Amino acid sequence: MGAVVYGRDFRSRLGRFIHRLIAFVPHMSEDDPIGPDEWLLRRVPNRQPDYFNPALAVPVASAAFAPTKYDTDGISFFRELFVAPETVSMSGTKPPYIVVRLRSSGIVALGMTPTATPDKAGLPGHVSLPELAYIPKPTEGERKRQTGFRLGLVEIAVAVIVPTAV
Amino acid sequence: MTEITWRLGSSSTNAALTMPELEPWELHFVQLRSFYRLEDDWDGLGGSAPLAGVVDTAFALLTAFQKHPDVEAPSRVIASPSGSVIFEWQTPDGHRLEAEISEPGLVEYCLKQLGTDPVFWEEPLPDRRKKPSWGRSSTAVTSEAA
Repeated sequence: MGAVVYGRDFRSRLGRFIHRLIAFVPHMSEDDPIGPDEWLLRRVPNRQPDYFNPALAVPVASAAFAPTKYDTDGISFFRELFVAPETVSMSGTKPPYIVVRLRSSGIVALGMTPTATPDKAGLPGHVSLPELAYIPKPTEGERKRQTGFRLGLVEIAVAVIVPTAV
Repeated sequence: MTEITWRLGSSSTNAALTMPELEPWELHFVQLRSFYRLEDDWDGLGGSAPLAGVVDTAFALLTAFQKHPDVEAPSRVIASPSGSVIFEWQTPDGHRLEAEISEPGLVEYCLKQLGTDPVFWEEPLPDRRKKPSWGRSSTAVTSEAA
């Protein structure tokens, strides 16, 4: 298992090395700002069959980007330069998860600000999206704004890992 | 004013694989019933289970839609991590209509075309005798069998 995890993370390290070469960046840390060309990964629940349907023009359900009560800083993403999709899929308490990938610049174009928020206790490369933070009692305007963001995100999300439904 | 023809009724491929015997409407009712059994953290990511009243409203809405001859089965039925239930209808070119129930008795609709801003409106549960009032939005919506 360790060798498999090493293999996954090696791909991310290689990607990071190439990114540094191209961008002339000698070192790169999880705190560094997210580049517009970076891919961000998002875990999508695999406990209901309708969260991902490849037969639809927009295969990912917008609920995949809904915040939970723990997302007080915003919903979580992970930088692919720091962690492999397979590792993200197998993380959390009820793996495997579907994993979708979104280009950082695409998220910014929708009016959101992906922010590097490293979490030493979790997977490397943690990113928060403050525009989709949990609001205990949202106003009508806040609810509509968040729904609009979610519906925009699914249009640019590409599935990279789709495990068999649990 | 743009007119969209909805080609609805395609149920989830994944779901169809797991329950091939069921018609789309039946399948969605089965899914809705399963939402009563969801517990908090059902997704392992902290997702909230929907309140029973929310699922009750979803049942009433799905029943009303099923009885209406112009409405086809949703493309998906979802319990969201925030505790709401969402019905989604989708056209082959990616236009989507979502009906979200976050609190008992109230349905929030959102119409989203690819690359455009969404249009929102709210309604109480539909009167079964009337046609759905989707046409109230700035975009007229009609239904057509897939």
